[in-house]
Amino acid sequence: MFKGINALLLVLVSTVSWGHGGVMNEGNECKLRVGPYVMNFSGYQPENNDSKQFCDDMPTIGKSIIVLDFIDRKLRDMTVNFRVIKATEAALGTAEDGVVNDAELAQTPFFEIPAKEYPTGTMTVSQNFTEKGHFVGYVIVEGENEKFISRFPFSVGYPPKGIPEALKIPIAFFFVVVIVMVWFLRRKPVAFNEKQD
Amino acid sequence: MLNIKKAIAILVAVASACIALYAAPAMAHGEKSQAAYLRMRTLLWYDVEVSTVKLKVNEELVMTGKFYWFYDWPQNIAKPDLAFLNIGIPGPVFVRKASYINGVSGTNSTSFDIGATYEFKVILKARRPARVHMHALMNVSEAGPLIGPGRWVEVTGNQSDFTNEVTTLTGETIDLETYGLANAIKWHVFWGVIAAAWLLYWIFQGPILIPRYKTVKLLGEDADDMVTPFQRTLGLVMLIGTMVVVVWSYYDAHKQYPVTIPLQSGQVSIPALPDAARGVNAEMVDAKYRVPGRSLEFTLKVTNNTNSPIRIGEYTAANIRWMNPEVSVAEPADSHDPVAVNGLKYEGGAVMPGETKLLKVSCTDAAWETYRLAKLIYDPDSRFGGLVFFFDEEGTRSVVAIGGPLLPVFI
Ligand SMILES: [Cu+2]
Repeated sequence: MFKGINALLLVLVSTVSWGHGGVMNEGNECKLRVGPYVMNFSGYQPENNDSKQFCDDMPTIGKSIIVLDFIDRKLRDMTVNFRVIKATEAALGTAEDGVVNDAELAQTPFFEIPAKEYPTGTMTVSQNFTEKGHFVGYVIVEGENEKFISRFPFSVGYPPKGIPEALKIPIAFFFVVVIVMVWFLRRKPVAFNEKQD
Repeated sequence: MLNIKKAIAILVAVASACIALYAAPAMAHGEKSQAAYLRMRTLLWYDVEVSTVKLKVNEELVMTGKFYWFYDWPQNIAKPDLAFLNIGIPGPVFVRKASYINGVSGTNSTSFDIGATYEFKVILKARRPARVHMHALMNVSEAGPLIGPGRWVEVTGNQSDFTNEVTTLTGETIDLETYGLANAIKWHVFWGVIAAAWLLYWIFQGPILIPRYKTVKLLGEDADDMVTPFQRTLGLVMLIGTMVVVVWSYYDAHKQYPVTIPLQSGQVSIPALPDAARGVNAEMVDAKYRVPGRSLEFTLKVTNNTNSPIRIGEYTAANIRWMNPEVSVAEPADSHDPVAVNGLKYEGGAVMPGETKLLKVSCTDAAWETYRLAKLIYDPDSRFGGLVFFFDEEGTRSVVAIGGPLLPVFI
């Protein structure tokens, strides 16, 4: 029984830090790694979900806004190229997701924002996704003597699989309460003078 | 059967997992982790500068700057009735030689007035080699530390060269780094040995902890018989001996150092600087935060009661600066200094003497998100604050605090 609970808890806990390629959900922040540099990744769908912020996957189709905020100041002096390519399958959830694919890069992108500098440290991408599907995003940053590419597969219009984000903590909390209760109920009351050695 | 050890282990695992869930990536020393409203509506720092960013052990560094106690102080935060100016550095890399607030020594705690501005100066002496992110910080009783802007500072050299000499009241020169250290160690060892011996002695006198508790329960009213007459005598000797040593050491110290002053624990009061607004009045008409654009946009009703036209050069909040380079120029001091070099734009131009005018200001930068200020829009009280710097033709500055409710917009 404990092995089961243990496994379940591990599943719950391990989802805290998950990622699709270059995009990682760390704690409560969504990060995009490009070489040694880090950006904050935020997805918005203002028409569907007022102020909710998404990390890579967009839950519904429609007008979507992706905002990249540069954490490293160095990125402000570099050009950033953002492109999205249509894919046939969803993110694998493995290290494979982050591997740059030259054949993909050679394709004509579904949409692209040409390389440009962003001195305010924020890049805003607006796109209307008219139908659901799987995509691969690429962020290419280029400075004077350096160039880094980040790949992240994402899906649009597929509701997230598994235990909904909002339920994870309540479920974990519920199990803690159950374990504590079981532990206390099983404990025998301590009786003095009962046994002497 | 339920294995208690395993259950406890799982509980511990679950508890740590829960903590890990909520422990968002911790920042160096709270510069981003404090709530946005706390950073924008309590203590606003500006003009903070360090005299050097690279120095050797034994060399001095001076940090200067100003701070303003925001007029719209959050209701749930204790007011600065008791506060102490400090410097936040990980580890004792420096020693503080002196600090001043408006020229008054900052050795003691102080009370400050909400809505008032003060300037400060802290003199530090480098103690050991390290590269540290150094912040001015104000410790406010019941409210905690309110952190100023950070600067990277590097100390080189050798810690063994460090000296911290002062001249005492009686004209003796001593090195505070080592003064009295041997004596302190001697007394700690002395009491430590006695305490350990006392503990060890009792460990071997019959049952201890739960078995002893059980025995006491068993013996009932006769439980006191467990302590032998010899043990009682020994206890008495220890008690009297301890008191004798304490009293003797007190008189002996007094004989060796007859001239002393007690630690000063009083509270000084320091008058504030004259109003930094210098006759400029600015009122917030409305404010919104453009979420995808990372831009704060507000309208100010500005009245110029000075005798020179004024323009906006800067907006600062939470140690982040949005500059309008047409009026005032600033560059980041180092890689972690959030200065939006070209972040402030406004419509309306100069405000003439005697004129009242509406100015539309926008402050744009990724810092709203990367420094977690935009989280404000998810608060039940989404009020923000900050300082607007106006400059006249001669470059004279007027500092005006602004604030109000903030609404998010998505287009
Ligand atoms: Cu810092």
